[in-house]
Amino acid sequence: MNATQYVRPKDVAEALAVLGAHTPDAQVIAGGTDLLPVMRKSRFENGDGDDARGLVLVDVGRLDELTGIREEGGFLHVGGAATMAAIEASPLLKQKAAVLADAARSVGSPLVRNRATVGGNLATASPSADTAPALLALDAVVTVAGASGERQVPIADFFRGYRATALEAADVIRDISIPVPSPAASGAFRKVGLRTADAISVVCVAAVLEMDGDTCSSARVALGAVAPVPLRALAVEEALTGRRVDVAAARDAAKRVHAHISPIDDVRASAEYRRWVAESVVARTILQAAGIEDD
Amino acid sequence: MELYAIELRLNGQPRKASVTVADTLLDVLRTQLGAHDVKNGCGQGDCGACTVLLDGRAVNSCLTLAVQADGSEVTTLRGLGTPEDPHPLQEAFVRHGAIQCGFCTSGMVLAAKSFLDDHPEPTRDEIREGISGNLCRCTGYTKIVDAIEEAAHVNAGGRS
Repeated sequence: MNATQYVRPKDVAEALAVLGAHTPDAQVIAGGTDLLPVMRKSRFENGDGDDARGLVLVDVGRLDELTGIREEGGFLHVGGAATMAAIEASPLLKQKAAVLADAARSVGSPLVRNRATVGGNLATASPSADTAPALLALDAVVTVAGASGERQVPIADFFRGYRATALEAADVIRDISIPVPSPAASGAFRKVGLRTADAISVVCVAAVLEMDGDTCSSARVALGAVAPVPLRALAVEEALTGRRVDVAAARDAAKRVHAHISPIDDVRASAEYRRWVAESVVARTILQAAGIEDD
Repeated sequence: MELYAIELRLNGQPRKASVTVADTLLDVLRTQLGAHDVKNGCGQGDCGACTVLLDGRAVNSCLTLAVQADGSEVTTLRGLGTPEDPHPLQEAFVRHGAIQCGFCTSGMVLAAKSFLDDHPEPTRDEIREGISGNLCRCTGYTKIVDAIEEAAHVNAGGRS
């Protein structure tokens, strides 16, 4: 991946025009925290490659229309180029979608979070992207701007395979909309990494439960780093819905996670460890969301 | 490869550079702008030695393209304070012996500055998280955390 041109468009319309004119040799950049290591590795392996086809980088990181975080019409809107730092510090998100603020705070280091954006976290589609399970548990919708206008992609349809998404080559993630959770809803995000901070997830889990007293009236539970894509654990959700939530019920529901996950061995952990820890973290995340002390 | 003329303010001074798309802010600060107080460590966002303040917020200059910093304010350690007029964080690092080999110090102090701007009254655990993007292989971090904690108290006392 060798970049030779850089464009900082003045708005999304201009970004789309530039992307369209240079497809397939155009690449959206915002924070660059995932893209620059890829460019650097390519440079080491292939040299500067003056004769190679170069990419046109289209920088959407500073566009005001992509960086806002606001509530409107029953939705929380997070701009595609909102930084992780802005999301973790947002009073609106901390109050109404804390699971996303917590997930953003667990991404990389504070230095990375000052640059990295939520749109980038989704577009690179790493299976271990921490904001993905949070957005799955919040039932978010991704608004994508492209050559033929805007379209809405439910987050559950966004990830199409390992590092593959519903994005076309010349698309920009404009906005992520989250239905404002009901006052009865509460969420939790938990992550296991190889250290407490600045770690890539071995397993991450987000849960949003609606509780009616002790009983769970609806549940969304999602995981990252245990399959080619971040995903919802529907069998876990079904096992919780309509049930009284206690430690035994959470552990029982968490056993159903194995129907959904297919972890691999990698540098961070073995598949076997991931299966064990995924079940445990699912149970703990459910209990944390339900406000129940684990024993 | 095409060259881009960029302008930025480095420690308050207007500066110009001619850069390729692939040049990182770190490359340009060290090779064209003489900012050798910015250290080149891992080159991929793991160690924090290259930390600078970009428009006031601590970032990895190795993960930022120089062209992306066009029009921005960049602060390096020398912009924070001088030997004659050090920043409270610099004084606290010296007083606590929070510096051994010194390679991480520039990035560590700038990360701490950005962190304290957001967290004026931090706990020790928050400080540890706040410098989690900056590796130190000498000190074991205890004296660094001590120094940042003291600087926070100095700030709370009215100096900043």
